[in-house]
Amino acid sequence: MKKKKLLSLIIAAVMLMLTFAGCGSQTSEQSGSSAEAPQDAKDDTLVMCYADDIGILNPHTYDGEMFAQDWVYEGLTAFSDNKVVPSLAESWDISEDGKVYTFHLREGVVYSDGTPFNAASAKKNFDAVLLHRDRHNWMESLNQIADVKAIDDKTLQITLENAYYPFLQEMTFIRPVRFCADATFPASGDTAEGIEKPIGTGMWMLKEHKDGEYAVFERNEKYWGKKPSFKYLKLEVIADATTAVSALKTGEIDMIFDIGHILTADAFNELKSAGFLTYISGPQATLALALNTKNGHTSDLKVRQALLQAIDKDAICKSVYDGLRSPMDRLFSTDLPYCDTKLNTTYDYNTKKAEALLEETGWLLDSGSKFRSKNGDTLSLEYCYISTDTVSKTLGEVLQSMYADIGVEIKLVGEEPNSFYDRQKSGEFDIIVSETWGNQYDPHSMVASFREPSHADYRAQEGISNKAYLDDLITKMLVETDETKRQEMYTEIFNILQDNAVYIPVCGSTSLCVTAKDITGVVFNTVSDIPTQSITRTAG
Amino acid sequence: MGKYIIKRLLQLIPILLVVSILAFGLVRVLPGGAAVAYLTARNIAPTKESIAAAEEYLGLNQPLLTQYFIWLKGAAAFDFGVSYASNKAIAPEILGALRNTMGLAAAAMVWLVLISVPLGIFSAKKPNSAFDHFSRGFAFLGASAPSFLVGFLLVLLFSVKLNLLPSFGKRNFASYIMPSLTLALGYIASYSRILRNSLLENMRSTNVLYARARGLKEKRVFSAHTLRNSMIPVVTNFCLSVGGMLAGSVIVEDVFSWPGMGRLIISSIEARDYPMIQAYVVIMALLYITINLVADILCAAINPKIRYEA
Repeated sequence: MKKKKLLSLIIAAVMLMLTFAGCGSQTSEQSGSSAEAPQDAKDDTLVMCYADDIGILNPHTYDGEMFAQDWVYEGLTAFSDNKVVPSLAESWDISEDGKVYTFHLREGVVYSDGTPFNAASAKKNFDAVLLHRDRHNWMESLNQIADVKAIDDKTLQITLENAYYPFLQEMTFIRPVRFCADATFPASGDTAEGIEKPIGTGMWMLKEHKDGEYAVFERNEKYWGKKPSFKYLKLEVIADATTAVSALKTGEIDMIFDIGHILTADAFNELKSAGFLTYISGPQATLALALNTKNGHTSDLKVRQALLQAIDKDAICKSVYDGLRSPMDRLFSTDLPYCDTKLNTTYDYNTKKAEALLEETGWLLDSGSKFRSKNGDTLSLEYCYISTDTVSKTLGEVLQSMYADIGVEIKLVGEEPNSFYDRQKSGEFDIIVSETWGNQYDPHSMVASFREPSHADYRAQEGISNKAYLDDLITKMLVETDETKRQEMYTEIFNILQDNAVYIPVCGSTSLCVTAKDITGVVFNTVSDIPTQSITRTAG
Repeated sequence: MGKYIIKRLLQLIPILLVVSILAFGLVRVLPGGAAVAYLTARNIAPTKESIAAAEEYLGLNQPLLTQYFIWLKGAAAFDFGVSYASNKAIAPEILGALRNTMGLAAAAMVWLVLISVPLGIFSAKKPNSAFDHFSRGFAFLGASAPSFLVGFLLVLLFSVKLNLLPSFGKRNFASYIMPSLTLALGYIASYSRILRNSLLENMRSTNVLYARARGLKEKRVFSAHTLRNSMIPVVTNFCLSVGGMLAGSVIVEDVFSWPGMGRLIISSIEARDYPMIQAYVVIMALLYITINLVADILCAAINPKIRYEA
């Protein structure tokens, strides 16, 4: 009996130990990796955080974080101050018919492993990307490429099927057309299958990466442009905004560059008053509400016009965004190419006019009832958002009270992301939270996507009488070679949307950044990159 | 006993098969498809063509049964395929997370034993004393305080104010202290009460009375008779919570940026990462069954009255 008992105890103990076997090896691996971590003084390392792991830094796929891909790999052109500027291509010529682009590659550029960047290498990268055109068909430039030729060591010629005008701008995109060294390619040459190691021409090199915990980048001393002032850049994975704020306070991280939009206005203002340095970007995209023009009560133009005029954007910016965002009265900011145009219609905040519009269409307010009705039907609209997005929820609550003032009921429909995307695709919404794609993609990429039935924009616009004409106009505009004509076409597109009251532009989306007191030189660029070149630590 | 264990281990096979079918089926009835989630996570606008392309290279265009058997074949050899979300092999990724969660759970167990056993014993020795009331209050507080609040309060005190412990991450030994304590707190509360009540019950039992009648020393009576028998409900409950702890605590892992199972599964569900979710469910089922078996064996060892026959 005793023996049996002992045996069973031993079995149990062994099984428990097996279950926990991992713990011991865990600690040893950890001490091993921390020994490899840069030992340089704190001054040499900039510590930032991001909510997710950087992922696989493959220049030609979409698995990694864009800002990290941008640190390691560069494109032919770059996007800066809302303009296309030279990057790996120093200059370019465009043929008369707009179909042939000849890029003159920058002299003396090498990958971080010392191998040269030249036309042959650029072509090899293009070939790898074009091997899987179907995976990149969202990017019209790649659909348009007919031929890529290395003319000589420093000249790359790309021929397009049509004169697709946004080609140079799309070459600034962080993926998939960025360039990596031979050492990055797998034996098969197909980067879609995976990469050997991330080697680019960018200002940072990936030095160490612990999945889900942190990544350390080292300055690329061979970089052709202005090198960052820090030798190392450490990116800690911190999922929760409150944790990030604590880490900033304890000095464990130097800055929160919040392109993931996790920081609340409260946290931002609290840090500001605690003496941390705070930065707000200019509008990088537009937060807008798309209205369903095809189905439901919003299919009536006058109802939509009423909704546009009954929203007090100043109050929203103050109450929902704590003054960190400014109101927008058009879908695309006038800073963007082709967007500085005069619109035929404007919708100023005027609840009297809004109420009059609703009265005109027969939505009447019976005495004693809070909301308008017509033939026994209440004027009730569904506002759809992603439930974990607390700011969208607050916005919905504010809209609820604003629209209640003109007798319109708003029902908040908060759902998990995938159900929300389903609504975008199917068009099952009255009002849906939407955002323009961001300054690198606006207006052309987003406008091009208006033609896609699986998009909320298409669904929202579906009910306007000239939708087919609009789509056709967009298609023609994208290959129009005459600059004046193209501008006219853009203006017409914007006016169709504005006249039909498809969108309620709410405010410009801004990114926030908070740094420790000794960090300076913070600048913003696009919605998806973190410029680190000018960030420095001041002495003392 | 040996036969019993073998029988239990053999039962694993049909259970895991059923679990695999359930896991495979359930992820596919979630709203929103994997292809759209895959594209959205990569900032690619989902169009008819891009969805079709994504379905093709994710293998989602094949018949369901084919997909299931391809997956099952791999899973049997512990090859769970490639994650849709990260494009990395799943087995190492999930094992890495499991290891981190196990480390945290092990540290939480230490807190659990260190705090709940003395609390339970001292409360039981002097029921309704001041200490017993304190321990009851502590139990209520521990069981009702949400872990994100406890976590952030600990961070505020020990990291921000006192600068003693790291506020996030898994860097060194000190990193384990706060997250494991936060995780353990809820369990400590209930265990100390279970142990106390079980002890009180056993103190009144006849075998304790006889032991005293036999003139055994009070210490021996307590350790050999009272405490031992009182451990049975504690061990059973303890083993159940090991399963819960290993499944990962999303909140604790989020608050302390701990790269464990909880965060992995939540992000995988959001990304509709089918192979990752399936692997998680199967591995968790395997762990739960193993731990239950361990609990049964332990109880048999503690109490000779319990016997399992094959």
